[in-house]
Amino acid sequence: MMEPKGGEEAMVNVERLNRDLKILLAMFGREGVTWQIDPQRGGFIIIKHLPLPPNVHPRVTGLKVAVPDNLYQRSGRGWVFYKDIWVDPGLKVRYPDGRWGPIPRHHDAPYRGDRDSGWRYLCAYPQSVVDEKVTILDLIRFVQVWFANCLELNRNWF
Amino acid sequence: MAEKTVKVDGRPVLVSEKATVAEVREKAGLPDKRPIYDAKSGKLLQENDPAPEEMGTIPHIGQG
Repeated sequence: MMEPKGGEEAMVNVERLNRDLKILLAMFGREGVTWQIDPQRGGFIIIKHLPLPPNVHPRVTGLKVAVPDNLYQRSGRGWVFYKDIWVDPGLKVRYPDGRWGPIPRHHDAPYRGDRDSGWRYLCAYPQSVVDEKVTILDLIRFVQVWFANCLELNRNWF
Repeated sequence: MAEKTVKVDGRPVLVSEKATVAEVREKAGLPDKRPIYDAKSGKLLQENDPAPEEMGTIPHIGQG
């Protein structure tokens, strides 16, 4: 768990971040989750094996989520939430004709500073979060639901 | 009118027997029109879709 640095004001809301880390540890176990976070600068969380819906192959991916340096601070009407998401390369989605093909908005090529990391950036993110009770569970559901609907969302997006 | 109980994010909500997603949204008092999905299939629902037994919500979707 994280602790605010003495005498300094943590930018990340450490209490809510710790709640999220506890949720992840309960869901995925100590071996299934890693994180590297500086309360002043943010960082990232990695879930090693996140289950995916049946329209995606393989049915599991690693998930890397950036922790912004102002996570869970007030922003406008809502709260700063997790946004940048990376997943495994090589993921495929089943198209209506039955073939497996590329996933929309899944950049299956190196991205910026992640050139050699093995992660692939997902151009889908949670927008404004106004619910005070939101947790990282909402992000996990977001990713899974996005994958389940990615073809329709890509077709209907304006 | 006959009623039934559905679940939204694990919380029971009493709605009419033929409730749509819009009615569930209203009865559950969900904030900011956030997307609702069928918890069984993971498929996003439209406002006029019949309400399944169990639903979940996610934050609004942004795509780059």
